[in-house]
Amino acid sequence: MARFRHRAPQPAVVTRALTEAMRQLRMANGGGTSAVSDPTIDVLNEAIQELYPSTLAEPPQRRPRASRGNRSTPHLVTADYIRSLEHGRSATLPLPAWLRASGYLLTTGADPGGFGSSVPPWLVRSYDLAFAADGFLIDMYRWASALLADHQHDPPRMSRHLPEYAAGAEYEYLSENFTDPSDEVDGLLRKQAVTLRARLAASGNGRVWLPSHEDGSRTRGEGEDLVPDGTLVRPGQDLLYHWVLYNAGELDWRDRFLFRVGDTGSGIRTPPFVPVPDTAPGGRADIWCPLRAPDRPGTYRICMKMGWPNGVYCFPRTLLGAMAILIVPPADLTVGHQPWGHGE
Amino acid sequence: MSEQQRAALARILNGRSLREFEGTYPRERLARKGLPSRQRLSAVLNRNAVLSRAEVAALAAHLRSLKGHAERDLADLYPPDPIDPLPVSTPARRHRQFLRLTTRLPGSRWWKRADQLIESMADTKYLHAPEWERQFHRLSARFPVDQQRLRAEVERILTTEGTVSPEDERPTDSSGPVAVLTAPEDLLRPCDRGELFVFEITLRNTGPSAWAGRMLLRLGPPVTSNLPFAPSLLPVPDTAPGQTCTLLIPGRAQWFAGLAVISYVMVAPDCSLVAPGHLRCQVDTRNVDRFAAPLPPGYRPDGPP
Repeated sequence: MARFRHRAPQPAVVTRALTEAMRQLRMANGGGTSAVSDPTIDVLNEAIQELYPSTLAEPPQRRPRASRGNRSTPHLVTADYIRSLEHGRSATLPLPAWLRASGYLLTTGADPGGFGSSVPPWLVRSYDLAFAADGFLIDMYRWASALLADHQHDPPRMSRHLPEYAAGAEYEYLSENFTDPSDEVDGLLRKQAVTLRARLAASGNGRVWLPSHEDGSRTRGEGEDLVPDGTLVRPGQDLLYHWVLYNAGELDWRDRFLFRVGDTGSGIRTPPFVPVPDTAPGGRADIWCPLRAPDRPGTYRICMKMGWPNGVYCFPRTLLGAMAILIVPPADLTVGHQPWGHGE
Repeated sequence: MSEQQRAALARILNGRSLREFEGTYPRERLARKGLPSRQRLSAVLNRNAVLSRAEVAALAAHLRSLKGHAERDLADLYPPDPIDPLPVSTPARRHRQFLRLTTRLPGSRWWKRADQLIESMADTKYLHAPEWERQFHRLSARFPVDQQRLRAEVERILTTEGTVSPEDERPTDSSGPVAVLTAPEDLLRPCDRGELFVFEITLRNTGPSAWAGRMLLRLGPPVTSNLPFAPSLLPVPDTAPGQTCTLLIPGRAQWFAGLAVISYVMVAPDCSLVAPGHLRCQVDTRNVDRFAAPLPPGYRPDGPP
């Protein structure tokens, strides 16, 4: 079997991850190579016109003032615009202070000038429609918006602090996205509520909750046999997802959670976080998370990042963490939800 | 509910009495909309109660509909969805979408002939070009796939004058006109990440109708970093009842190490479903460890600088 020389995954700016996904889908559908062809622009502009006919019908001089300056309203695009956006040069986002001071740019040689693009949501929707992304780019935009907000803090941390709730109401808090949960999901949520209560009782005992060079995490995807990426699910279906992580560093994992990046109620519904079992270096952590499929058809991805109760991420430079992708097919394509049977 | 949200609520209600808030809408309408009562809001502001996430979302949506409130305050209370979803997928929308792609674009790597693809990759001096070239030669020798012919056939089918099946002929759970003859173990492919693969699928027409002008439509996007690349549409050879056909699904394994599913349904030229159920293949790249990237050099074990 052929083997490739793989480089270690490199941290990237959030919006670059989004524009790279947009470029990947364009190329997969016949957009050719990294060069942007005229037929590709025609396809994209037709999708823009299909989604925003009334906005594009207005004469340019009558559009809202914002459209003349930062182009935040839909407009037809050119090859130069798309090329610049996909390569992260359509706008330079301000770098967070922690990233500027980290020396990351010097060590990797990345160009500090063209660090990322400002991606308008109307263009993401248009890409999604034009290149048959089935809502994946739209869900990815939600993730990127949330993580970008987290990254703007210094040090990088969650923008949503652990909210308050009445002591003893941990189960109600964790389960608020799961109306009438299945027995399996309900059992897991009750068990995790007990863990949460114990964790928060022990918080503030002097442990340092800050990132470290000596920390590390690996995964081999061992928990994915139950729900592989791309599993077809029914609208509103409950299921349990299993991640297996290995403590690949030199520090004990204690008091840690996997935090959902983004709004827990849109797209795939999850609790705001799930506990990570205390794990010694070299040890294995089995983490279960209840998921509820969205009601609206599409392809959805969740990302859970490891962090402490104070909201600080354990691995602030990574964009991704534990992930899962589910597909809710359109209603007219889901007659007979089972795979085709085998015959002779 | 956070302090930030409580402060935003206080700012929004500042200058408006809670009696005025509830007086605008009768109590029964508040309850129907999932909104907290005046008494509950008062308890929240006095830190004697908290609102659930669903209550906060309903309250923010209601206040947005009333207008007159600063968007910044509403965003602090509950941020709006930053992006709208797409219109619901229908056969007509899918047909328009894929006809646009197959007829207008010059073709993805997978629609090109293998020899053209190898030539273009060799010209770019792409890092993995020698490996992919060897893979293409090996796959082309075993599977004589003409990618350009596949695209032309899909385009021909999409432009066929087809009719949507009448209501009484729509597929139901009880019908099962497709059987997969490929062994289950051949529907699971272990791969290196990014490696090329081809699934050889043999199907039997177990229904009463001949298959003509049918296609396999992939559910979900054609590629992501977690999902393998595989074409969104593939032509199904015309097949009489009781007969078999073989088709090839070319692809490239997902970049991330993991187990992923590729699912296809059978559709008519107008992209409406013609058979219940779906074809399920899996690609497994869990032979490489995934690990978190190290911290920037500026971080010290005892905290940030």
